[in-house]
Amino acid sequence: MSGRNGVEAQPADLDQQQLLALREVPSGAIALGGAAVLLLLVAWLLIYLLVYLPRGMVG
Amino acid sequence: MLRHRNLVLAHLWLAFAVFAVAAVFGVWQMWVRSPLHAPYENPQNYFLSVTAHGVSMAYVLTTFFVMGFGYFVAETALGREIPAIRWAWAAFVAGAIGALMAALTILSGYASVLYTFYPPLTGSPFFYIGLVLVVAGSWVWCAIMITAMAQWKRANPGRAVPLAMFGTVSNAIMWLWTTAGVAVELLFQVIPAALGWTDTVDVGMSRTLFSWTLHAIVYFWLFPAYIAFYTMAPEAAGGRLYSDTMGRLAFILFLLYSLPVGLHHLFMDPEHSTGFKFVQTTLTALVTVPTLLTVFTIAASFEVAGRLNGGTGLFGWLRALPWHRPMVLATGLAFVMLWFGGGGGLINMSYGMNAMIHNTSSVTAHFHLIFGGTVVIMYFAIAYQIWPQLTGRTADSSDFAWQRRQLWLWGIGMMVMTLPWHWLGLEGQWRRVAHFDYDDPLIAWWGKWVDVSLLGGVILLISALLLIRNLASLHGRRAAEEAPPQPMRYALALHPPAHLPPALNGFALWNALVLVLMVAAYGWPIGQFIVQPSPAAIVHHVDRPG
Amino acid sequence: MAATQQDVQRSETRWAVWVSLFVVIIFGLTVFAALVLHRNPPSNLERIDPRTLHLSGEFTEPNLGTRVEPNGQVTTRIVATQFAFVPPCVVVPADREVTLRLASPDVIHGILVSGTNVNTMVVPGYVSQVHTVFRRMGDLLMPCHEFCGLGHSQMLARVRVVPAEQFRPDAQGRVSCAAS
Repeated sequence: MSGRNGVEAQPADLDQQQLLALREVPSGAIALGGAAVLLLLVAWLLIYLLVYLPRGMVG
Repeated sequence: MLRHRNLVLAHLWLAFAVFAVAAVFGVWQMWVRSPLHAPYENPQNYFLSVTAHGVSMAYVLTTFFVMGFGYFVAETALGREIPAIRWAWAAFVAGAIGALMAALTILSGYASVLYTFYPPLTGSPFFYIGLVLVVAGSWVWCAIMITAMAQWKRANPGRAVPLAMFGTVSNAIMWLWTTAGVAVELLFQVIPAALGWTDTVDVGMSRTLFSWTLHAIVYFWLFPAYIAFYTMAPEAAGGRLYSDTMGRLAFILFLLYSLPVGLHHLFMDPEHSTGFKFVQTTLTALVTVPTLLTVFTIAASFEVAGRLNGGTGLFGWLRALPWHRPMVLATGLAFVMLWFGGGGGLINMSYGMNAMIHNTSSVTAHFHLIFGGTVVIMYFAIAYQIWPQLTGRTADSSDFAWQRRQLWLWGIGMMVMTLPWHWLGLEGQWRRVAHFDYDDPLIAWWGKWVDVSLLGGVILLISALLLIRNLASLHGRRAAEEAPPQPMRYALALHPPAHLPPALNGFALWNALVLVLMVAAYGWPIGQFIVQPSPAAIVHHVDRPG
Repeated sequence: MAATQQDVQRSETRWAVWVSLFVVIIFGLTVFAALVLHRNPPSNLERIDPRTLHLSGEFTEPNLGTRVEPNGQVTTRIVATQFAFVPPCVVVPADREVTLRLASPDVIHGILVSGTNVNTMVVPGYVSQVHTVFRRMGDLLMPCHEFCGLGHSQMLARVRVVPAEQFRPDAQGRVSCAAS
């Protein structure tokens, strides 16, 4: 770990061409992660509505 | 090569050897449960096997892997001598003796109480004493990890503790908190009963103390996988860790929220009120957060790698990743299994929904998938990554091909085994059964799906044996033309932290918060049994005739 | 675009917000099901001495099985013991609130009723109580689902759900499988 303040700086070990390639980050992660979490919510909702609620009251 | 490679190898070989034997037991159990006739099939053998399999996978594979990997991280991430090395070896020997004691009592049929050992069912005292020895050894490991980090900080004032070590010490601290529950249960309730000093037991207290340990222990198992996600996978993928801070935050959130949630294992229990079950549901919802954050951070790290490798487009970076590298492949398979296993976990934690699946095959499916799948596949990947540094050999493309095959078989086998279990569990298939009466028209249709699960188990066994072969093949004399193994390189962050606030570099604040949370979440649930003990249940010895 | 540390933190924070929303939705629907739709984990805190429950009181053998109380409430009492349920078959009416009460004189057992949300541990020292309404007619499986010893696999009961006209209590208010 270097002693420089890395808060504002660009990653110093990557060149201009590499930084250009990284311009889209993290749109891909948002797309993949977002789709996965959304699908998870849908799956949970389906089980909630189609299995859990029909099985009746309990307490 | 690593200075203390023998210490690390001893731990990891013990872990994986026990794992391979336990895998054989597991497949036999599945054979017994299926409509097909299995040899030596009877309840005594079955429950002996379930106990052996559970104790091996949940206590031995895990504890020794975590310890061995921890020593590796301490030496390589901190770049210094491991403190108290003789204590480390003593702890290993004590733990190994304890594991042997437990194994012998189980195999003699004197401890068929399963790895959850719920009193009043009580086995031989040597079973429990063996487990206590394993835990005691792990406590020594915790002390060594904490000391190593403290020494490094003194020698490097103001610098950020390397993330891999920060994660390892988070785990060590969490483990000390975690084991308190089961230690009190064993030392004050179970072992006295097993020795015959008491003949009744407060079951409400014992179940609650065990629940304290039962959830947090799965995070103890999980930490190496997450340490690999954050500090090894981005490097293997050829990228950068998207956020070092997020890694620290994830480890801290696990430390905080894996402990005060154990009551969600007791949702269906009559000794706790709605109030505390609900409080711990809320806290359980919080422990989903570090995993959900990790999903994004690691995906972003892999996106960096993919784009640096020429990938473009919203998803094109995925194809540009070096999937031929075992660590990268394992991470991908782990995340697929995480979706299913995590999804099952969300159902389990959803309070009333737990009633659909409690003590069914869905539970068995969940923890095999999330732990046996997502976590253990990363144990394999870590082993493949570090083995050359332990043995002095270098892996070549043929080794990588075999490693990939083993990983694919594990991922496929785990899905094939657990998906039918999930469904059968929802249909009411219950747990820990030595024999299903498939002539009963209500359950006859389960048979073919149980057979499918069995096929998954067989695939896993082949994968387990392949693991042993792969690791063994990296031992022996290095050929003259073989290059020496590369030293360990942990992932570089996109923005390496120069200075960190103490909260992200140490644990004083977090320990205080854990104490507050545990008092709030478990204070009364345990205190109620001290104030007013449950009606005593009679101890039932399984290691005595009649 | 994540070149600077600030960009990274901003994206992580934004993701954390979405993820928290996801958790809140699931949590909210769970609470809704509990409070409004009456779906709760059974949490009746009631103690009983396991050593004497078969000798006197509610769980003596003649008192077990389904009974319609004088106030019209349907209560089914079952003892879970190594390795059988007593009684091993119970009758319950469809579309009417039923209260199941279980106790164990020995070790930990547990039950589920297939196809329903009925699921509870039976812990020696405590009475487990579950209220529910059975909708589907027919024979349902009620296995012991917690390991209770070598005979655990054989420990199985049946719940017979019958339509109202077939649910005929005798003079003491009892309904049993043999009669129906």
